[in-house]
Amino acid sequence: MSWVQESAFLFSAPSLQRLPLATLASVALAGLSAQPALALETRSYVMSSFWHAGYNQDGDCPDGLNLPIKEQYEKILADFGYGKEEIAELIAGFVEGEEGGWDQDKVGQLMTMRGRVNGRPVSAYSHPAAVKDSELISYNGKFAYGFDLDGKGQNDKSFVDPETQQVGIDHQLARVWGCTEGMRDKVNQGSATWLFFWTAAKEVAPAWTITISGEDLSNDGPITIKFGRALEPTRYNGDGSPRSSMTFRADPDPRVNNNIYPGQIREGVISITKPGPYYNVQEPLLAPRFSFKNFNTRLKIMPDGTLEGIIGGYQPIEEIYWTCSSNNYNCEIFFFYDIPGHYHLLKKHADADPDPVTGQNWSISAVYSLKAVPAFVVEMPKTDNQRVSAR
Amino acid sequence: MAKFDRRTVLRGVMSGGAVTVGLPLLNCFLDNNGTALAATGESLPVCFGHYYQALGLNPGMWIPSKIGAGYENNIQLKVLDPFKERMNVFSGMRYFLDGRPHETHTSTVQICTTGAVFDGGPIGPSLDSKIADVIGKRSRFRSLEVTFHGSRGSRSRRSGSSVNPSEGSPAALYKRIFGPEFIDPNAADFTPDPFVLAQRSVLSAVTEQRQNLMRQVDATDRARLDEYFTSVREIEQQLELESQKPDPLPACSVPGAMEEATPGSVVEDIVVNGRLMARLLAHAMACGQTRVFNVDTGSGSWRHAGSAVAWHTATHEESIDKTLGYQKEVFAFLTVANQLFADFLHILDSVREGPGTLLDRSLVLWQTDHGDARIHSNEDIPVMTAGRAGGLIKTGMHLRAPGDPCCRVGLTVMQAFGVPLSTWGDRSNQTSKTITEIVA
Amino acid sequence: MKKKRSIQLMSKLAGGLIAIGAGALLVSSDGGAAASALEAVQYETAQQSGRASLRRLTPDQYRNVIDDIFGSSIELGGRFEPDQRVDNLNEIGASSVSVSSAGMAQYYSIARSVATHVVSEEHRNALIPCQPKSAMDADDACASQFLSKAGGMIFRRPLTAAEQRRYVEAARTASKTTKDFYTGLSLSLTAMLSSPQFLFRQVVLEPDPASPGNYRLDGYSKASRVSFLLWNSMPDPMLLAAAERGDLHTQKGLAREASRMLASPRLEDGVRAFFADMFQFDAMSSLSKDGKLYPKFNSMVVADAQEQTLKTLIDLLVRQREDYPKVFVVRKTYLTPALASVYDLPLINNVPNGSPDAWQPYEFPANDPRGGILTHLSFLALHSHPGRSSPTLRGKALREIMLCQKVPAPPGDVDFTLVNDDTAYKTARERLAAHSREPMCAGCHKITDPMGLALENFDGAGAYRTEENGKRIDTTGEFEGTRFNNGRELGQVFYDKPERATSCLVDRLTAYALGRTPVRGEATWLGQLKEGFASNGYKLPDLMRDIATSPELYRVSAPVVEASDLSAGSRTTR
Repeated sequence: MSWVQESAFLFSAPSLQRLPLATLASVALAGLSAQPALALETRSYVMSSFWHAGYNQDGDCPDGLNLPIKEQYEKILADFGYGKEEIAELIAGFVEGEEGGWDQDKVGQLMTMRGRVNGRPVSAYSHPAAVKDSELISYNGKFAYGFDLDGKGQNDKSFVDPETQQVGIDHQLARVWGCTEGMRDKVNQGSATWLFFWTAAKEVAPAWTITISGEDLSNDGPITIKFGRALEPTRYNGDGSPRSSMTFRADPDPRVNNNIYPGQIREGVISITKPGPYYNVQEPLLAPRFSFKNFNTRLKIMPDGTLEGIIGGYQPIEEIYWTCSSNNYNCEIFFFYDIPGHYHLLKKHADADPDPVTGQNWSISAVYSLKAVPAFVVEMPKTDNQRVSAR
Repeated sequence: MAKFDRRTVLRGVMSGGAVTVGLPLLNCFLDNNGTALAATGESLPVCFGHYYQALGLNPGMWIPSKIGAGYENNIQLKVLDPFKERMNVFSGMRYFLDGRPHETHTSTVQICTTGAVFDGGPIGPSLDSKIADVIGKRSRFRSLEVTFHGSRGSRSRRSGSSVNPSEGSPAALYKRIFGPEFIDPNAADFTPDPFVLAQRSVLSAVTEQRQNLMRQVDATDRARLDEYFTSVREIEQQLELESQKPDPLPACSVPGAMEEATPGSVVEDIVVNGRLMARLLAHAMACGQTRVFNVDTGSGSWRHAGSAVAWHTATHEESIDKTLGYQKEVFAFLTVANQLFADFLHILDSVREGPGTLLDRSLVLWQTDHGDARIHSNEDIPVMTAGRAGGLIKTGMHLRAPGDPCCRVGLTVMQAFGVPLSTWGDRSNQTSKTITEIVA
Repeated sequence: MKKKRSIQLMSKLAGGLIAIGAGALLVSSDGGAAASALEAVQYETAQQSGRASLRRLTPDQYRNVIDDIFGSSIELGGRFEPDQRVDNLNEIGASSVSVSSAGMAQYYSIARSVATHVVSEEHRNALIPCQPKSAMDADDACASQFLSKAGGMIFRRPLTAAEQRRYVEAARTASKTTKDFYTGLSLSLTAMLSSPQFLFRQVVLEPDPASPGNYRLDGYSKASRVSFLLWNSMPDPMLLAAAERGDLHTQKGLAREASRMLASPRLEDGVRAFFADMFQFDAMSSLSKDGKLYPKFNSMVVADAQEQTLKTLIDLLVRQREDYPKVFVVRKTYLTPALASVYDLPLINNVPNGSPDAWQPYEFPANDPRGGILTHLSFLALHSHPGRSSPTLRGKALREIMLCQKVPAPPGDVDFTLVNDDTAYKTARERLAAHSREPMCAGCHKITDPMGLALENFDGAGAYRTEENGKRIDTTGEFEGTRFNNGRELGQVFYDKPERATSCLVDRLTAYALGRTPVRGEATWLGQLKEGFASNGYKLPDLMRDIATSPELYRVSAPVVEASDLSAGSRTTR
């Protein structure tokens, strides 16, 4: 590329002066056209870890944990009328094949088609409601991270937030995952299954971006919070730590870059003052679609400049269900939980979006934990005139 | 003259520096080369083996705390202590996906064996095939592939569509090597390779100029040319050796007939099979039947008798033991696997050939797919080499190169075996940085 | 030690010398007679002109030469012997290194690889001008046709009749042995590519008719000298033709060829090679940083950092034809996303996802703390410790690399405790001040530290900072009477007072061109070059032209015979 072609240096415009890290440049965040063009401080971040915010302690499932998938299969096979010896033989044939995949053994066939519609076998993953409820164990502990999404305070089903001790926390997804080994998360560091999801996605899925702007982000006051998605994946250093100060192009797709909320910083905590809808897409393995109602955040800017905290809202249960069910049997034995069984749990604990006729709720209060590192986010408006936020 | 900083030279952090070689007129280096050549035994050929063990090692339990020479093995690799001086342990390196899908167990195996990122298209030959192209052409089997779990699958491929299938049965491998077609190499006739003869004759076009050129230069340049011609002479000597009937293979013997072992993925059978395979490969190399081998331990599918929980399953499913701080079952599998690798090396090392052993003239490259199998990460990947390849490789070091592509090890090993390559690997895995610390 | 006796060559030898090899002589037109008359010669370095020695091809030169002869689709493979730095330049080291046995094994393997590719079915139709009568037998006519053409380029001069005969014969024998014409041909080519005439840049001397009593390089040696200087590669066919015609012995002919070569985009290869050598970028390959302190710093960042500076220099000095002192203040540069993250700068990677990171142009804003190559990672990180910055290393590098001054090495018994005490002394300036209370240390640190401290706003990996251990960093200082406040202003001082840096560039480039440190007798020439450089506004291509067209570049001292060698045959050094 020659200099002649690059007559306009994208980042050298006087209004985009780069200042030392400790100071923060005041520039307009392109794309936030509703905001005044100047006198705003903007900081952008790119998400570097993400998982269901779990808080599980020893003994918080007094009825025990849900069975490992193979024992669960034995139970299901017994329900189907197989004798003890037959089951033993079938399970013995259930071995992992080569190349990290699995042979489509007989158990696989039987379990894949364990749904029944009018007595005929159907895919358990496409028709989870047609699978007999495994009556899995739910989490009934006292604590779960989150928000008082309905604003109604404490009730029978609400939790206490282990960090803030706030009561009336709506986080029913914690009940769904809390007694399943692979999904249990002791200290909000990610359950084994979520860590696996994240490892598979983190370097290849387009990154989620977070941009905060306000008069003075070092002090309390009103702010604007925006969640979006970039074209590039997050980058990582050799030691696995996320790489800060990389530049990301915001995905111009309007579906994924319209999550803009009024918010505030109060005692260092970034929250949304007027929760609204949230829509994004992610790596298919995590969730092809990711949406909330009553979206809220509790994020903190850490001393090292990174961002950490939780986000949550009411999430359609089908999105959560899709996360794994799309990979069918392989996913069930890969992640070792009874997928249709958890579908029944999701339905059981769903606490929003009631069906007007049946009253069945189709959304569930859900909370996720995230970490993000400072980044440059470039809005990609319709014109060629790309602009950039400075942190 | 360039300052020769001792600390720089001795520094263990693998930096690919050019500091340790390249002052050809210093006697110390010539001595080193001389020793290195002597160690090749001059008559016994070098061998290469790729040893693949899926699912990595236990994070935090394998990286030696000391970098450089004189490292101490961490808990999980203690079992390899007897070979410490003849091994290298590499840490900190990783596989790069560059936005390509993370097909766990597939993407990363492909990168460590072929350097290529998974994108659905055809991929090049695996590194063992490239090495076999250099050292395996004249032996009866260009390479031998085995698995410990009875499978015919293999990590070795000649090209994207052409996999070198493995032998999973020790009895079948025995028949293949020592069946009726086996000819005792010490009794066999020898026909020199015309290509080697031709090279010898052609090189004399260069060496004949020696007297003339030497007369024509001043003392300083004469010393340099003298050094050059001495180096050419060593190539001639190598060719001379190759064109003569090789020395008898002192350790060649035909093993007793092999009984059919139990194939499958039960750990107890794997251990038996693995040791049988090691013995057969050792005999095959000692008898010059092959110079390249591939082992796939099939570790992902290992399980205990009566248990349906395979090692791979356990990495996902098992929770971290509260008191131990790691996955207990996974650790138990790893303990067996590492012991089996140690057994494998012991068996190669038990083949004595004059002053050295078969292991001394071999290089076994140990690779894996993930850094932390529990989350299938592709960071901080363990890589090891065992054996000195007859002096081609320096050993006894723990080298750490955080964030560098694992392909650096593959590149270095291939170059050591004479594969003409200056770079290797795809996208961010591409590297031209030879690990000069281990190049003899 | 035996007494040396110098014998002037001229009195012994008639004209018509065609000398092959280093340092002098000697295949005369009548073959062995001259060679037997004079066994060996040696230069006296104190003479008017310096010694001309064999220079081993650098890895880049090898690659370029193969590209030039056979095209870039020929795979090289293999690993080259590392270069050796002497008097600040690898190009001088190239005049003293040989080929070790391990290195020869690699050269041989690369030669085999190249030759195999050249005769491969994929390439032979394009690269071999004839077809053998039988592919399974020798064919002298076809072999001769190919080998004389290829050999003329590989040796960078026409083959002698004897050489021609010998290589065709080699091909014949090999083709017959292997029953394959192309295999035989490729082996003969392998031998050529393994020969000293290829691996070393030959120098052939002849008496200089324009300067009786003095010697000059012959036409082909001149051609090589000018082309490796300007292009970092072998002479192209036009230059070889000019050498054959004798044009390079006339000032007009030489100037015409130099102009042609300077106008070529290949000049960028020459400039790149020179600066990579001058700025000691070979040390980049062994540069590593503490991963805990500088997690972003990996080998890819190192490679990019070096490339950033070279791209910047080529754009500024060759494409824009700006003056050399601007390198110390230039704000335009090129970055990759990985580099930008270390610089803490926004940079759009304007490529489809999944593509390797691409280079993008970038310009530091006028008030940015960065500007000029001294604030590039390639300088800041290269001249730092693995875990911290070093004003001393940076100051020393500034003095030695940029200004060609010599900083004495520290004494062996220095106590470094104070320099490493972060608790008592928060900043590097404080630590060094404490250290320099030792009078033994103060002398040298006075030379290095003031300039190095100007760059303390950049940590050991080159990232920007304003504080160290919580204390504000003071980057003020003085260079030869001019005050500066920070690293960028130090660059400005170098720009405003360009004499030392430009004089250094002339010295280095001249040494690079000669392959040795200039001798006393060349001082006048150097003075003229410096005057010319200043009067033409410090344009690098013009300086390269002046050097390339100087008769001094091709003049070498009269060979003298070392008596002790007269009776000696070849002598080993070990």
